[in-house]
Amino acid sequence: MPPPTQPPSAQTFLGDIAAAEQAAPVPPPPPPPPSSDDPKYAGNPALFEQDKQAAEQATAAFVTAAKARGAGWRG
Amino acid sequence: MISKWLATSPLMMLQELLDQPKDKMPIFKPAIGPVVVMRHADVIKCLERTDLFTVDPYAAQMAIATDDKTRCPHALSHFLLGTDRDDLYRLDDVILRRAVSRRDEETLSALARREAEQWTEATRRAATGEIDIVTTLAKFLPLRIVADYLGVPYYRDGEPSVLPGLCGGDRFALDPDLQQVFTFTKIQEGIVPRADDLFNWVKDAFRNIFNNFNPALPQFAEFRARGLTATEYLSAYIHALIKHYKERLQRGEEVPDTMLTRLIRMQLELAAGTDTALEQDLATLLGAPPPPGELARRLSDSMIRSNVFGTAVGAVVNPQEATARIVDSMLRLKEGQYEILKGSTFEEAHRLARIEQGDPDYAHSLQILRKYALEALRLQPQGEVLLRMCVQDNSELGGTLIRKGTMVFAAYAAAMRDPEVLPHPLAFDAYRDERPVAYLGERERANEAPQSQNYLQHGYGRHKCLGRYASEITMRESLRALLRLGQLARRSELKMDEQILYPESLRVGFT
Repeated sequence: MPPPTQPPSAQTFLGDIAAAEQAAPVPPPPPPPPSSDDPKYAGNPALFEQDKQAAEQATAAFVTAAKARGAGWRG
Repeated sequence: MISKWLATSPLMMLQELLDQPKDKMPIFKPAIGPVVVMRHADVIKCLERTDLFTVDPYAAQMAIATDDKTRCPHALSHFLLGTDRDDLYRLDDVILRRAVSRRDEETLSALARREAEQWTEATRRAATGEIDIVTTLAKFLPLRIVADYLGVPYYRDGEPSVLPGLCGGDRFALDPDLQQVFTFTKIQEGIVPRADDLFNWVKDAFRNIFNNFNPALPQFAEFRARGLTATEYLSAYIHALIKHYKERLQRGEEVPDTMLTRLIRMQLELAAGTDTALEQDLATLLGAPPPPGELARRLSDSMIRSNVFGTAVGAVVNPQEATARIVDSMLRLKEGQYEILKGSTFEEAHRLARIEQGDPDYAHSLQILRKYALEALRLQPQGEVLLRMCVQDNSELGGTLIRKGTMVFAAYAAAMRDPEVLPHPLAFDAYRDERPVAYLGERERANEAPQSQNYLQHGYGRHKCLGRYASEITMRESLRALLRLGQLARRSELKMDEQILYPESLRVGFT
């Protein structure tokens, strides 16, 4: 990513944000990863594994979308 | 996206956010990335609620100026600007605010006035009818404060320094005592700094701590390396100064009265048991005495070194930009770009600046010039946001849920133009009520001046700038000196560097 020396392309900040959201949609934030201590997984390791994989896939999709959006910041 | 707008059109972006209906957009929270807090009440709350929003993002690069924990496992590795842990923060805070105090206003004013007048005299002698504010007053008044008030001096090339046998530009061996606790990876020798050495060290270290977070940017690695090199040079030099002045004090010799020597005096008097007042005062401010041995630990050579380092690093490039912004804003005032309230004209500032010491209106003129500087900077602020890390899920800011781990941009530049608290926020009014409040005035900030709720350029709350008094005096004296040059006219726009982070030039003509 080049250093931010060019003026923003859109006329407004929120317009720029809306354009970026349209160009690179971001899925909903991923759910927290499941905990094996959760009672609902007691005696059901397959369900735990299934939820774990779903959470990992959601996180990966979110990270990919975030990167496509150019996530990163400058203090 | 947010970074790009903050770098290129920050005030337009923040104004747009402020203009959104409050019920629809109390804060700006994108699907990903940092949250932007722009309304006054929320910015204040964000800066006050250090239990929810911390300065953690700054901590890692501040720690490189402290002792190496791999060599000294029990070393303290924080600077107070990078921690919100009460056990680390509060004791350092009261110690440093004892060494850098509002009682020094007269000393600071004299230092800044002398430096400013040297530059304006030199400018007049040059007879070009023009001054570049960025490379003169804005740069050298803060450097003078660092040299003569904080106690980290610079020298001309070949000029004898306080370090025995060493002149400006000379190299010196790294002290084995320091190498026992501090790891050098970039430098083999120290340098007695010239003005540009000291300025560049401070700037490189500052940028690495506060403006170099994104590894995707092409200069990230270079800025990180430069920050580390600067930290090593500055640490080696401050250590040499501590060692020198400590020996002199132990021999009963006179030393300059600076932040650095005050901290050494505290250390020596504590060790000798001759300053029981220090422990009593700190216990009163903190509400309880520090744990046994903790005060000595906080006044160790290592802590004095890293605290003087951190204070010096914060004391140059921010004031430099602030002065440049103030002058730019004052020229905008002269050019008719602001609505003017209560007679706050450029011409009135010019008149006030020419009131001489001894005139019955002199003290009043300084007070109003200070307010001109604050108001000018409110409208053209240096920096726009303070960075905080959300450390606990909460909905304290505008009722919007912010998750743990979210970066928060506390946009003080927006808060200072929020019409809910500042009437006519885009107008220039040098007589605004500052709305002072005594933050922690009944405890550890009992000796501090109240802080303004309207002028937030020096932060607010716990991390209110340690150098606020010096900074305000620097701003006032720079403005006064410039106005005294004569009739002013803009000769250039304010030019910033490639990253739009640091000022490079602002030329002003005078007749």
